[in-house]
Amino acid sequence: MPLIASVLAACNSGSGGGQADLACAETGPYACQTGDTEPLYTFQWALNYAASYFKDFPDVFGGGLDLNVEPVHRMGIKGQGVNVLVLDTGTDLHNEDLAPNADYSMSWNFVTQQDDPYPDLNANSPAHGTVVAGIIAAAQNGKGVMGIAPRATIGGANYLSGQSQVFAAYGGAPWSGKADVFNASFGGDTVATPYESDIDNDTTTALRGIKNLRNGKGAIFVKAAGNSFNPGLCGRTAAYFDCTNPANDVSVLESNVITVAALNAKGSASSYSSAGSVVWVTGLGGEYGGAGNYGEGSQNGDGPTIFSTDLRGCIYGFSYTGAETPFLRGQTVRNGRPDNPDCDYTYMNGTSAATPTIAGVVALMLDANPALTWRDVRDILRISSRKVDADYLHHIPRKGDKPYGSLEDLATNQPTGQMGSAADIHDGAVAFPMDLGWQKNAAGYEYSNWYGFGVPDTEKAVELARQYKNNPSLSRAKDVQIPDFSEVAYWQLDPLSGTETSEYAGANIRIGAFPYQRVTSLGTFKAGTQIVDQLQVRLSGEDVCLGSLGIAAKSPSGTVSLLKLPNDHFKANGIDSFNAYTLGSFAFYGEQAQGDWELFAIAANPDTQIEVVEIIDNQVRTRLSTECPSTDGSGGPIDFKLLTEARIIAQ
Amino acid sequence: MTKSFRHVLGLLGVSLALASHAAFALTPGQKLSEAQIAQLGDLQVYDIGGTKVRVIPSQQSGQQETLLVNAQGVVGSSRNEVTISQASESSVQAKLQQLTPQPASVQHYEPTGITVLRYAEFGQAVEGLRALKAALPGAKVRLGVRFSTPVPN
Repeated sequence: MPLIASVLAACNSGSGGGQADLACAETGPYACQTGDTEPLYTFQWALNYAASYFKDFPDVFGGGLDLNVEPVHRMGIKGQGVNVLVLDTGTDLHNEDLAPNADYSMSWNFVTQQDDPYPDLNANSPAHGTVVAGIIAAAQNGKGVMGIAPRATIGGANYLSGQSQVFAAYGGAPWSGKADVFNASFGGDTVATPYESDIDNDTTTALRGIKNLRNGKGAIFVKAAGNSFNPGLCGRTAAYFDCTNPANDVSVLESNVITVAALNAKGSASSYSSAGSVVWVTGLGGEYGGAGNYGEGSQNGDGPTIFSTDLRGCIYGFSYTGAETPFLRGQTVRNGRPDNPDCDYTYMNGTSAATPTIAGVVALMLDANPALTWRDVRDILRISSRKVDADYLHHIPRKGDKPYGSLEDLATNQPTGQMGSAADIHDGAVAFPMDLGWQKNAAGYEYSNWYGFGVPDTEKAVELARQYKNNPSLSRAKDVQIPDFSEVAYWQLDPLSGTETSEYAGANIRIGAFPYQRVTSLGTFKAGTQIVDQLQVRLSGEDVCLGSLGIAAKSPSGTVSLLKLPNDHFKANGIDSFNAYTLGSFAFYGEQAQGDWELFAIAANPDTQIEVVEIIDNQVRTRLSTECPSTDGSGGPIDFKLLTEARIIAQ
Repeated sequence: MTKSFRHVLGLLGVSLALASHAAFALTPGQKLSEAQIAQLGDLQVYDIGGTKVRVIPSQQSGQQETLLVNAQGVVGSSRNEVTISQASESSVQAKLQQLTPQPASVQHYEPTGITVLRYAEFGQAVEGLRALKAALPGAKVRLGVRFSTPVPN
């Protein structure tokens, strides 16, 4: 019988006719009930899309999906026994919907040095961590909202007020070492920082350390991709692509980090959701919720967001007396009862909101099978994910007139309107595809830079978790294999000296002017008889315009991935010096590594300046980008150096 | 491994260290203009694994963090800490006794297997990094510098 039918038979009919292990696993007044018991559940479209309040607003709702959590809740699987730690701005664990699940021994306040993680109200966005926590584990208690894992144990820490304490926050302290799941709805993606270098921002080391938690099974680290799909950062009116790159936050280069993009209530990428080849899956984040009573207004393509808990009271938090919509002001009434009289509930968007939807799903998986390793969890999320927005490549962005999948001319730096494809990435091409859409790799997995492997189906994920429990041989306990980087290509203007020739003996040496305004094969490298987890490409350059440089890779099986696009935000500041700047791609996941991998430089025209739109101190400013010329003062080509390295992280 | 273009570890140049006060707030991730960097005066330069950083002198004694600026003009922050992973606490302690400079403090995070050595100043941390890399070839030894300040997103 189909899974859904068997679950319903076991949990709702009371017949006891299903398999014994599908019987209701929960006791208490809410045993095996869905979130219908909670007064604001109708707004939680991520948990029940079909019955949502928003279904009556077709301008902002329709064609989307939820996480399919209800079949799992009906089984009584609600996160029991799973510890989830929210590293964020702090969390108001005293909120009536968080208090039942709060664990102060898994919490820390870096400001007060106490175990109550209530946020510093002077910090940036102090309510943020309270919203995140509620999305994961708001209790089922007849009040407010319900978390995706409403019986998970929740802890919080105002890590963003104590970032220098990364080793304590990332599992090294007694309180953080209890965590099974970390939720990290934060990031920084604007700087080209070195990776696997003598200098480290500490998160790489810390993240590898959390693989030791859970008695060696590894804690699960779920991370927001970012909200940088913003055209102004790279001087554009329409957002054709993410002007930054999630990989600029080097933490997402770690294979044990699950990077999450955001989907809106119409089944498309949230307009702000960062895109790139390090995205693993997509959660639900919505749009901005800026209009209507509950965020159902449709102006400027807006739509609803994710409902959750807030800082208590109408003074602090996202819900307060001067907020944008009646619900956020505590003024809405349904069926004669006020929805939010004390402003203890709110809604929020962002990959910050999408990430805890996935952390909640992970908690349900670990409830079903606590023996899952970090690799199992990541695999199950991938396997259970659904392809969404299949044809997004042909859609046209707001304020734009060309499809997302158009070619962009490398001389004019403008979209052409002609659709591109992976076949356009070849030596000598003078245009590149801005996105490749959904591509099936040689392992049979479909991947998209916007959505990763798609949106997880919780019912399927939990069923897989149970299969792993029944058949532990499915589990993968060993770590991925992380070799050193190997030199692939070295390029400079003038012939190499004898010393330089020996230094770069392993690289494909190129001499001559940097090949702006075209696609150029940088060279190939060989990989062994392994299965790919991730490809990484590391760049070190001097006098190379990083903002005009894109990178693509082709696997031995012929799969192509865009790891970095040219004309990104690095153009704004004319960045031309970088060391060990690293990109990653999961598009090749599961493929055979053996054979020749080819790397391509997609170099645009650096001699055009762009008008950059920036927000500084909440003021919108425009300015011309810093020059990064392709020629020197005498009109000759710029002297430069570019070293390209790569490695295959293997399963 | 040494390379002319990267992987150079050590002090490149020592300035007169006459840096003036920065008349503007500095936070990790902030991009400084050439003019702003010039206001900071002559700065001590290090090349650490190919990443060039200039140290911004602190005007206050006892500062726990060292501010830096990289080749892109981006401000970084270091707690003068060297981190070691893939080495046991006992092996780190054993090697550490034979090395100079000595850290001001050592903290081991048992659940994650990471040891953090804190030095009194940035230059000592750079020296400590070099010494520990040589003494613990099987370990991952890193000097912590943050070039961005993560924000809620």
